[in-house]
Order: sequence, then structure tokens, then C-alpha cells
Amino acid sequence: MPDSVVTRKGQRLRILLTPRYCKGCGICVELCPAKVFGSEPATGKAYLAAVERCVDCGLCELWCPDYAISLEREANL
Amino acid sequence: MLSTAQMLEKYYLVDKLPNIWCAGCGDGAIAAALVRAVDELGIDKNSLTQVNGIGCSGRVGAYQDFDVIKGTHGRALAFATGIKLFKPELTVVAIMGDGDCGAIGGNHFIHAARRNIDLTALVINNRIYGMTGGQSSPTTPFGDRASTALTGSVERPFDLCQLAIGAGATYVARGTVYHIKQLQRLLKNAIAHKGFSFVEVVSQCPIYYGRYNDEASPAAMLRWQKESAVSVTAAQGLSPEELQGKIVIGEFVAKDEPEFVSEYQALIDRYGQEAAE
Ligand SMILES: Cc1ncc(C[n+]2csc(CCOP(=O)(O)OP(=O)(O)O)c2C)c(N)n1
Ligand code: SF4
Ligand code: SF4
Ligand code: SF4
Repeated sequence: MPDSVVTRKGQRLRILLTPRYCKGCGICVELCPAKVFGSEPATGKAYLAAVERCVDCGLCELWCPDYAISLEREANL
Repeated sequence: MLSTAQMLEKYYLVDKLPNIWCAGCGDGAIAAALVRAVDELGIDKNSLTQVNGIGCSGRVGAYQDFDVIKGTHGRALAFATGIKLFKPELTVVAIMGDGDCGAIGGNHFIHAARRNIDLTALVINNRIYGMTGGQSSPTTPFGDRASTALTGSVERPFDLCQLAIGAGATYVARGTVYHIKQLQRLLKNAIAHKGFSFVEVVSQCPIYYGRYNDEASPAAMLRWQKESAVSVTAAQGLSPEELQGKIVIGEFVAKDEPEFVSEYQALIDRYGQEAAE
């Protein structure tokens, strides 16, 4: 399970991606304002391309229709 | 707010995932917004009953750990009315598609609104009949294409929020999947409101509506929601021509009126008292 941690707003934040749930819809890839996600050429599934760019807008986990993205905050890390 | 992992653990039947919906369908995000709203309100999941209609939108409860009854097509509000009257202590949420609520269920819809029964009606408006193959629905915009309107619909659509207002609903709001944080707030307010609450969510069906209307990418459909949205306040200053093709979002109505279940209980109390004397 690829995951990655950044520090934002003084808090550690882990972007947790569950490829098993991802259907490759492209919503996170195209709409993340910081272009954090890429899409695997073969499957179309999302992958974490540049976690360090994340601005913690919180939208990807709310938009993903397949519950494949979770933003885990410090307290839960 | 619950992270997705926390939400899945607390409220989802994880062994049923991945869900049945097509890639990029709005239903999954709306389902999650509902759960997060319920969680923020601190409602015990065992005291919430969901009634699902028939359609892609009628699959929401299939993945969630609430008591869920799957009604017949168009009848979600009839089942919801019965449940609420029998067990007024339950929070009852009916989830329907635009076809389910606006066409076959239209009469149940207006009369539930007229009675002002304390329910929340959530309508996922993808502007077509999704599950049966993209036929035009009562909300397909004039001129838009569907599998039964290949050259563009020649019917005028319903504005479901205006219909709810006209029928007497005491909480009426519209959101979109793009404005997902606002949608969570609207759902919270709707569920907390005592009376008939109506929330319409403009959603995306990339597979049928999107494909027929040259908008097949889910992200493009979300961008369209963003670009077409006008707040209720901003819309007040716009002419009907300027509002053409816009989605007005926010709260239209939030008011207190006599509520059906309470009025009915008062009646029972009054006559029960008299019989006892
Ligand atoms: C009485 C009855 N008539 C027709 C159908 C067939 N049917 C199943 S779902 C559906 C419409 C779905 O459209 P909508 O309510 O907009 O929901 P969506 O699938 O788009 O979420 C219809 C007509 C049915 N199941 N029952
Ligand atoms: S939004 Fe979700 S399902 Fe869509 S590509 Fe991203 S992770 Fe996959
Ligand atoms: S939180 Fe916002 S910026 Fe960070 S990955 Fe998600 S969408 Fe991109
Ligand atoms: S047909 Fe449309 S509404 Fe139904 S699951 Fe697919 S995208 Fe969603």
C-alpha cells in the first residue's frame, strides 16, 4: 500500500492510497490543485507522483468515489 | 472530520467494496458526504434508517452499516413515511434518483413535502435514468441528449428544488459533487432540521449523460459543475436569461412549520387522554 507523509499546517499528514479500490477515474489526477497524483499508463490507476506538493486542501479524499484515498492526520499516524 | 479510513471502519461494509458504480460516478462521493454529515451530527448509526429507491442511486445503503430498506421504484418516501410514523425516534433518510423522485415517485414527493413530515429526502440528480441505460428523465435539460433523446430533449425539465418549495418543504437546498464540503454542511443542516428536508445534489454520470453530451471525463463533468454554479444569493441579482444553464446552489428555504409526526402524536395524546377520562 503506497503511502507518504508530509508536514502541513504544522501537522503530519499521510496520503494513503488503496490501489485495490481505485477505478482510474482520473478525478484526483486532474483536479488536485497541486498535481500530487499521476495515472499509471497501463491501468489508469492513480499513484502518488509528488506528495511533497500537497497543499492539504482535503478534497481528494472527499471526491474519490471509490474511497481509495485517505488523509490520515497526525493524531492517527 | 472522519478520514476515509476511519469512515470505512466505522460505517462501511468493507467486504462489499469496491462498489458497483462506474469509474467516476458521483454516487460514491455523495454517499460518503452523507456518512460524514451523520457522524458530525453525532447520530448513533443504529438510530438512522435509510430508505433507498431503485437505480444506481439506490445502491448507497448497500455498502453502509445502517438499517437500510430498499423500497420499490418511486416509493422510497412512502416507506420512509411509514417508518417515521411508527418509530418517530429514528432519523430517516430517503435516497432517490431524479427519475425515482421526479417521475414515478412524483406524487409521493409532493405530498411528503406538503405534510412536512420529519424526513430527509436526498435526490442524486444525474439528469438521466442511469441504471436502465441513460433514458431522459424529468430533469434532463431542454436540448440535452439522452438514449431516448438522441438529437436533444424537446421537453422542459423540472427544477426539483422549486417543486419542493412549491409543495411546501421546509428545508430545501441544492449542492454539487464538486462543492463537496458545502454538500456535507447542507446534509447536516437537512438532517438536523425538523420537518421535510429536501437536498438535491447535481451529480455526474459519465457513462450515459456524459457520453451522450460530449463530457465523458468525470473530471470535466466536475469542472462543469464548478463553472456553472451560482450561489442562491448571487442568483437573486440575475435575470432568467443570465440564469440559463446555471446551477443555483445553497439553501433556498429553512423555516419552521407544523410537523406531521408531532401533530399526529398530539392528536393521539389528546384522544388517548379523553378515552382515559
Ligand atoms: C415500477 C418500476 N418501473 C421501472 C423500473 C425500471 N427502472 C429501474 S431503475 C430506473 C430508473 C433509474 O433512474 P433514476 O431514478 O434517475 O436513478 P439513477 O439510476 O440515475 O441513479 C427504472 C426506470 C423498475 N425497477 N420498477
Ligand atoms: S479519484 Fe479515486 S478512483 Fe479516481 S483515480 Fe483517484 S484514487 Fe482512483
Ligand atoms: S489534499 Fe488537496 S493538494 Fe493534497 S493531494 Fe489531496 S487534492 Fe491534492
Ligand atoms: S450508469 Fe451513471 S449513474 Fe449509474 S453507476 Fe454508472 S456512472 Fe453512475
